[in-house]
Amino acid sequence: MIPQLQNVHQINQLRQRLQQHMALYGYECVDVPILQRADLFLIKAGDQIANRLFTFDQHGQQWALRPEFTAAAAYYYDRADTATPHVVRWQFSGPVFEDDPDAKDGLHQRYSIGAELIGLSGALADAEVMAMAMRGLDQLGVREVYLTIGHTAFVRGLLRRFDLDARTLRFLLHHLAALRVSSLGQAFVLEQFDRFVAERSYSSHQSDTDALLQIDKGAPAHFADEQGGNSGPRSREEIVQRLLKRRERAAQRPQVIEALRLLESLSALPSAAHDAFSALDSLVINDERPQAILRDWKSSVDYLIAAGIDPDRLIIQADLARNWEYYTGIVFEIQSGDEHLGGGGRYDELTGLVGGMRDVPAVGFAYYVDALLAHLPHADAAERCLTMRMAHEATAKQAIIWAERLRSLGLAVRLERGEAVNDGELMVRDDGALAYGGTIFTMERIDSLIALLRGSNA
Amino acid sequence: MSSIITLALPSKGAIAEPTLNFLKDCGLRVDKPNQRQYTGSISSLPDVGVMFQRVTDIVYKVADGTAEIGITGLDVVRETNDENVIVIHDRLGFGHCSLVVAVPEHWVDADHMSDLVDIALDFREQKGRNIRVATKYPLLTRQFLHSRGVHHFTLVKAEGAIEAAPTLGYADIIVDLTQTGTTLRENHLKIISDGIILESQACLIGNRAVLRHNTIVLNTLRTLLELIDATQQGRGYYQIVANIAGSSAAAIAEKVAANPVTRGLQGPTIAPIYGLGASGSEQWHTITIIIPAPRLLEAVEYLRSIGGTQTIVSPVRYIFLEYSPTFARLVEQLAAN
Repeated sequence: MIPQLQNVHQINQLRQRLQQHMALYGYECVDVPILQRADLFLIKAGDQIANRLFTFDQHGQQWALRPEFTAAAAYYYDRADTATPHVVRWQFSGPVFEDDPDAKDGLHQRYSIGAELIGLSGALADAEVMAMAMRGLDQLGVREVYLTIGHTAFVRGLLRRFDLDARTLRFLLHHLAALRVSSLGQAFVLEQFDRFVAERSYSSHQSDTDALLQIDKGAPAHFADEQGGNSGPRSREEIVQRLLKRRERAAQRPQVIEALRLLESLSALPSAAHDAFSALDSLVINDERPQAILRDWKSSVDYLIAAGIDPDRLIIQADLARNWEYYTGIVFEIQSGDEHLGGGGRYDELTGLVGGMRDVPAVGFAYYVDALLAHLPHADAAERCLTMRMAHEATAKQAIIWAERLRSLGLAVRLERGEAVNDGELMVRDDGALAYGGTIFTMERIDSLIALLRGSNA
Repeated sequence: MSSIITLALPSKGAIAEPTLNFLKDCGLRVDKPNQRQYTGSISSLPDVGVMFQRVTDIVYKVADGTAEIGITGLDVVRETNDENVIVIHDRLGFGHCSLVVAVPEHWVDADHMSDLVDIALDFREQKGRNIRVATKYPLLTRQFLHSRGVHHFTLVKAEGAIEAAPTLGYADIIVDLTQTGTTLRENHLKIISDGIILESQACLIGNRAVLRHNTIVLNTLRTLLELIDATQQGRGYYQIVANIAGSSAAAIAEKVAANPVTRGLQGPTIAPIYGLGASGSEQWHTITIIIPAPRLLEAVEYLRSIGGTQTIVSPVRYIFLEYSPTFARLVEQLAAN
């Protein structure tokens, strides 16, 4: 069987409904090439994307199958023929690709539907995208959907007080998820940190001091000789700098412990918006930058509620761990039960990084279509295709006339030979009339038939 | 070839000769009528024909069914990662080598993979490019680097002297096979201590579909595996035959079995010696035991201490267990898949 064949109708229906929904917010349907230069996705890709990007080499260039739409959206926004910053609302749908060794059925392709709002900053834009994403699911009839909202800029802002170096900050953010795992927690992350900055080599029993001395003495002479004085891709200065940086990072261990305590305390905060923001307020009393971020964050939640999203469906989780490389502000996940149905966030630096001259504010999201399909109410699973039967070829012409008439009125009909096998099938009689559900219909009574069929399809 | 199974063997390279020696030790001497020909036979297994191929091609030949089974390096099998190929025996005991991550030895700040995570980020941030990794093993390298947190790198596919790549300037680090590390050291490279991607050795592979559906092939393979298993099983043991005087076979057995080393696999076999006089009520007996090779001298000393003499030690050529463990594992694997 062709993979996902059974889902084609569902995906088409879902896409149409979500496209119409997002069009109500002014989002224009656009498309980007499936095949792109790999750099586009790798330049600011988080580890997960870099890990799972489908790449291949052709014509001396590394190419990739798109893993998502956002990087391409940022790239094409930057190339738009306009001198001044402008606002675009784009929606995307189509296959995306992921080199996932654990992929279900061995498929590396899935369907994605999403939107990007580029050129607009602030809480209004954040709320617009989140509300649209939530409302889309409401329109589809998906139940018990809730929205978890975090904020990468807020967490980064909180950590600024520890004056950690950028690599240590990256390390902590990448280990945030481990803090929420009871079997790992702070002790595990600290152990990883100690390995990250370990001065003493496990293998060579050489300390950083020895290493520095070795470099100082001019070793390795052979390399300089062979390279004509060129010490290869990493100069001695760079190596020394890294050793010194590592030493500095190791000296920051007390601050790291404090930072871990703070991060761990975030996971214990209440999740309801009002209580969560009160608790977060108390963390940033004398810290202006996180205070400003928090005000903006609260505004976005107020706007969401104004847009009709029930506050009970909102969960505030400051340390929501999405892609820390990628996102620069708000991040969110949409869930129903344990199932993740979509997610997104703000990525203000991406446009500049994919080749643009400037950073452009941008926020976007994507629905996880495979998970979403499993949550659609049954009525949306597939519109019924009627079976119309003819007992013999003599009634074929009449059957074709009936079928075309019904199709012209928007009903799906397939023709089959043989007697009807149940009351749900249409049977073309020898006199040219149509039998359905124990009633005989002539062409003059087609309106009654249509009403009956639409009623049974509802 | 009118054989039931075609066995693909390495035609050249590091494991070509050791493969022939291994098979010979198993009682499976490969006859190659002409050095220039790429076919051969095994007289003790007439149902098996031999085809000589390059180690990389062996995997492809087995995958496409040209050969039903083959002996090649585990590194090549893992790199090729062809689902049509099943590893029947992954420890043939020769051709040992490691696939390792190696960096210029003057990178004194790089000992662990966590250092490479950091250095790879330095490359992106300070040099505006990815760290370049020269290798013949792109698949295994990519998987390993990602699993260790190095996500931003560029693979430089290379053939030949990979270890020269950093010196020549077309890569920053390498991933390559090494046996002793000498070549790496000579090229001023050092192995990252936790950068061992794969411990490889020669392995026996087969075509999954053929083995699953063709019982005739499977039965022929069983004979081959019986001999390989029995040889490998026997390789670690010696057979000891010694004369000991005692009041009875049971009394001698008690003494011999008192030491776990001389207890043998199940216990000693003891037979009376006729015509050789012993003092008093004692009579000479011959004991036969199988002992682990590393404990030979310990066993001999113990036998001496309980009166053993004229001890004869022979290598064990085969030990056939109640079934071939490798064949049993293979049948399980085929059923599970």
